[in-house]
Amino acid sequence: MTPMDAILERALGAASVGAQALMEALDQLPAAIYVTDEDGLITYFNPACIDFTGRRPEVGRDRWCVTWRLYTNAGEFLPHDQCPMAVAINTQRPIRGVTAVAERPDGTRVVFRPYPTPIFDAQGKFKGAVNILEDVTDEVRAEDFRAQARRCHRLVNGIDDPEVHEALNRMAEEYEAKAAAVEEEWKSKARLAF
Amino acid sequence: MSDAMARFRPEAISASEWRQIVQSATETAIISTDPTGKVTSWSEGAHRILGWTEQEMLGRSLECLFPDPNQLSRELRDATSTGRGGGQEGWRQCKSGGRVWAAGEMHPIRGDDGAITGFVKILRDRTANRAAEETIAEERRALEILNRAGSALAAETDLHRLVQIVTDAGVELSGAEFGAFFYNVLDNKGESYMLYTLSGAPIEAFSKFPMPRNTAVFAPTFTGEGIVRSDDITKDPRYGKNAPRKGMPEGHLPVRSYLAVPVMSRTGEVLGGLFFGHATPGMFDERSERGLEGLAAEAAVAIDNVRLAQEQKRAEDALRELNAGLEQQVAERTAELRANEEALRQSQKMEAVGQLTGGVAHDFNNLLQVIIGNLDTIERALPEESARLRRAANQALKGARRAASLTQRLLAFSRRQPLDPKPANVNALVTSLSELVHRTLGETVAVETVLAAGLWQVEVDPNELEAAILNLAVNARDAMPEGGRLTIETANSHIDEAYASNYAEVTPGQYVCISVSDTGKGMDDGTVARAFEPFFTTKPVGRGTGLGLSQVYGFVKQSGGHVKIYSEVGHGTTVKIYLPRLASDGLAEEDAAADALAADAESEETILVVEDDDDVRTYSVDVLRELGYRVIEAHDGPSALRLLERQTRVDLLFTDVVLPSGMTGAQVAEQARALRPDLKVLFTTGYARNAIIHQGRLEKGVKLITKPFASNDLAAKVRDVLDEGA
Ligand SMILES: Nc1ncnc2c1ncn2[C@@H]1O[C@H](COP(=O)(O)OP(=O)(O)O)[C@@H](O)[C@H]1O
Ligand SMILES: [Mg+2]
Repeated sequence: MTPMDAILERALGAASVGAQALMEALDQLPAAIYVTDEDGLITYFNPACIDFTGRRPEVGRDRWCVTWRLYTNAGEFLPHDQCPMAVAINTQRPIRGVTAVAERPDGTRVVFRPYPTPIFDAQGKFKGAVNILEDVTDEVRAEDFRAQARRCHRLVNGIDDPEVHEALNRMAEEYEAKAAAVEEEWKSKARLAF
Repeated sequence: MSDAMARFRPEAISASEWRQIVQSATETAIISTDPTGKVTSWSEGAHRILGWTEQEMLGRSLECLFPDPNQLSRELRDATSTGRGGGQEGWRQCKSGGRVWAAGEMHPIRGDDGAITGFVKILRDRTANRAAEETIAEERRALEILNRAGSALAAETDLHRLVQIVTDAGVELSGAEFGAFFYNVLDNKGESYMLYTLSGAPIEAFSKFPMPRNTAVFAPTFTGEGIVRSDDITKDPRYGKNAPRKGMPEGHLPVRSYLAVPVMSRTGEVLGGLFFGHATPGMFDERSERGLEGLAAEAAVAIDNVRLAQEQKRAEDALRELNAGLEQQVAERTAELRANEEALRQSQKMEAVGQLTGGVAHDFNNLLQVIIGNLDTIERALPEESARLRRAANQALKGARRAASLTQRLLAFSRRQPLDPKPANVNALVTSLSELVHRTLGETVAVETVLAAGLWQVEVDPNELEAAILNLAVNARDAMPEGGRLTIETANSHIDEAYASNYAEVTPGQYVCISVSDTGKGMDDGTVARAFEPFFTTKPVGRGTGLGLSQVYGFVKQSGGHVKIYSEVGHGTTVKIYLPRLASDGLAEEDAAADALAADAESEETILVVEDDDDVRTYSVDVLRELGYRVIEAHDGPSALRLLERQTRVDLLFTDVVLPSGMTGAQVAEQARALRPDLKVLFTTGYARNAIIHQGRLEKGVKLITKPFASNDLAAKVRDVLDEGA
C-alpha cells in the first residue's frame, strides 16, 4: 500500500462517516485533501490545500476542484468542470494514473497526480467524492532530465563524429546527474512528509 | 494723484489689515517663524497647500516641511547671511503624507534695531505646472523619437533594417524592456513569410516564445482589430490558454506589462504587429499607446513604400529579361532541359545505389544480429576473473555495434529503416534541439534559430529528424574551422508544379521547410552533385564517413519529403529539408488522452517467440527467460498458432516479420489476435520494405524492434509493449 493509498483510505473513512475526529486527523496531513458532495461542491478541505493551491478554497462555493487554474500536461487550459475530479463524480468511478498542472494566483505551477475517488454510503448510495493532490513536480522534472539523457544517447547512434560523441555523452551524464539529484531531493521530501 | 501718494502710508495699515491681506493670498503659503524656525503665524494659503491648520502649526518647527532634515537650517543660515534662503523648487511634505512640488524662499524679519526677530517663508504650489512641464517634455521626447524614426524610415530601403528601426524606436518610446516586430514579407516567389526583429532582448530569449498568431492574446493584433494594452497580461483572461506545458519555458522573458499594436497598410492589409513588454506591471499608459500608434502609421507607410519599390524593381527586371532576347531564352531552356536530364540521371543513380546497399545491408544486419547476440551472451557468461577475455569480448561487441550502426545508416539511405512517424511540431523540436546543437558544436559556432509563426504540423519520426538536423549541423561545423554562424530556420512553403518537375519524386504541394545554413567554405558543383552518395566524403580518413548526408537523404525521401543543397564556394551552404504538411492536424492528443489508467502487472507473463532463424530465436528466448518471463517458441506461423490454441496464458507475441511456410509475421499476428483479442504484439526485423511497413512507415500502433538488438534493448521494448494501455 503506497502512502497515498493509506491517506486515501483514511480520507474515505472520514468522509463517508463524517466523523469529527477523523476529519481533524485529515487536517494534520501534509497532502492536500478535499471532499465534495454529490454535485461536486466542496464540503471540506484540509489546510495543506491552501499551500498547494496558493489560495483559500471556499466551502460550498468552489466546485470540482480547489485549485486556482488547471492545465493539461500539454499546457492546454483545463476548465474545472472537465477536471479528473469532475469526471470521477459524473461517472461515479475513481480516476487514476493521470497528471495535470495547477497554477497558483502568483503564477507558479505544480504538476500533480490527483486521486479522485467516489464515496458511497452503507446502502451503496453515491455521496460525493474525495480527492488527494500529490505533488509530482520533481518526479516529472526528473523524468524530463532522463528523457534528455536518453535523447543524447540516441543521437550518439545517429552521428559518427568523435567530438560530438564525447559532447553528447558528457551531456547525457549531466542530465542523469541532474535527474538523480532531483529524485534524491524528492525522496527526502517524501520521507519528511510521511 | 500726487495727493493719493502723499496719503499712502504703509505704517498706517493696522496689524489686522495686514493679516487680512496675507490671508487673502490663498494660492501662496505665507509663514512666519521665530529666529529658530518655530512657526509664529500660518496663513490660510499655507493651510490650503500644506494641510496643517495654523493651530496645529503654531510653535512647531518648520522642519516637518522638508524631506531633507538639513534644509531648514540651511535656509535660515542663508536668509541670515544674504537676506534670502531657499529659492530652489523641490518637494515639500504635506500633512496628508503626500507631497507638493513648490517654489519658495525665506527672508529675515528685522526689528527696529535691525536685529533679526524672525523669518518669513513664502511658498507657492507648482505641482500642476510641474506635471504640465513634464508632459510637455515627454511629448517633445516622443515627437523627437517619432521624427527621428520617420526620417530614418524614409531613407531606408532594406526591409529588415527598416523594421529594426521601428522596433528600436518603439522600445525607446514606450519605455519597454523589450520589443518585437513580427511582420509578413514576400519572397521573390511571392510567398509570404513571417519574420521578426527584436529590441532589448537577445534572439535566443525570444526564439523560445511560442510563435504568435492563432493565440487568443495575439489574434487581435494580427487581425488588425486594434491595440491590446494590458497592465498585467498574466492576469488577462486570454492569457494562458496557449501556455506551454508546465508554465513558461526556462528563460522565457518575463512579460507583465504588455502592449501590442497592429501595423496596417493603406489597403487595410495587416503588415505585422509591434509587441512590447516589461517585467513590471502597469508600465504602459495611454501616452505610450498614442506614441506607438503614430509609430505604427509611420512604419506602415515605410513598409508600403519599400514593397512598392521592390515590386517596381521586379517588374523592371522582368522587362529587361524579356528584352534580353529570344536567343538567350532558347539557350536557357536548353540548359534547363539538360539540367533536368542530369537530375533525373542523378536520382536514378541514387536509387540504384540505394537498392544495392539496401540488399547488402539487410544480409549484413542478420549476420550482425547473430554476432552481437552471441557476443552478448559470451560476455555475460564469462566469469569475473577472466578479465582479458571479457575485455576481448567487449571490444568485439563494440566493433559489432559500430558495424551495426553503419549498416543502420545504409538502411536509412536505401529508405528501408523502420520509421515511427508521429504528428510533430517542428518549431518545438528545433527550439529544444538548438541548445543541444550549440553545446555539441562548441563556442566557436554561433547557433541561431528563426522560426516561422503558424508553422504547419508534419508527420515525421522525430528522433530521425533530430539526428538529421544534428548531422547537418556537424557538417556546418566542419565547414567552419575558424568558427561562424549556424542558422536553423523553419518556414511554411509551397512546392509548385514548375519546381517539382525539375526533380524526380517531388510532388507539388504544401511543405514545412527546415533550412540549415552555415557561413563556411561551401561546396563546388562537383561536390554538391555527389554529396548525398553514401561514402562520399572530402574529409580526411578518420574524420568523415560520408554517411551523414546520405542518411539525411534517405530519411527525408522515406518520409515523403525533398532535400536540396544550395552552396557557394567561399560563402556558405544551406541544406533545405522539405517535409509534407500533415493534412489532419490534431490527432496526437487522442493517443495522449488514452494512456490514463494504469493497472498493476502480474507475475508469470508469457511470451510466444516466433523466429525462423534458429540462432536468433535461441538468443531471444534465452534473454527473455533470463528476465523472468515464461517463454514458448515456434519457428513459423502455423506452429505458433497451434501453440497459442493450447496455451492458457500468452501475453505477448514476439515475431519476426518475414517467416517461412507462407505466413508473414503480420498474418500470424492477425490470426493470433482473432484467438486472443488483447494479445500484445512486438515485431522484429532487420529490414523494413515489406508487409507491416506500409510505404516505408510503420502502421499506426505497430511495435517494432530492429535487428540487431542487445538484450537490454529487448528487455526495455518488451516491457514497454506489455505495459502499454494496461
Ligand atoms: N555544410 C557543408 N559545407 C561544405 N561542405 C559540405 C557541407 N556538408 C557536406 N559537405 C560536403 O559533403 C560531403 C559529404 O558529407 P557527409 O555525407 O555528411 O559525410 P562526411 O561529413 O562524413 O564527409 C562532405 O565531406 C563535404 O565535402
Ligand atoms: Mg557529415
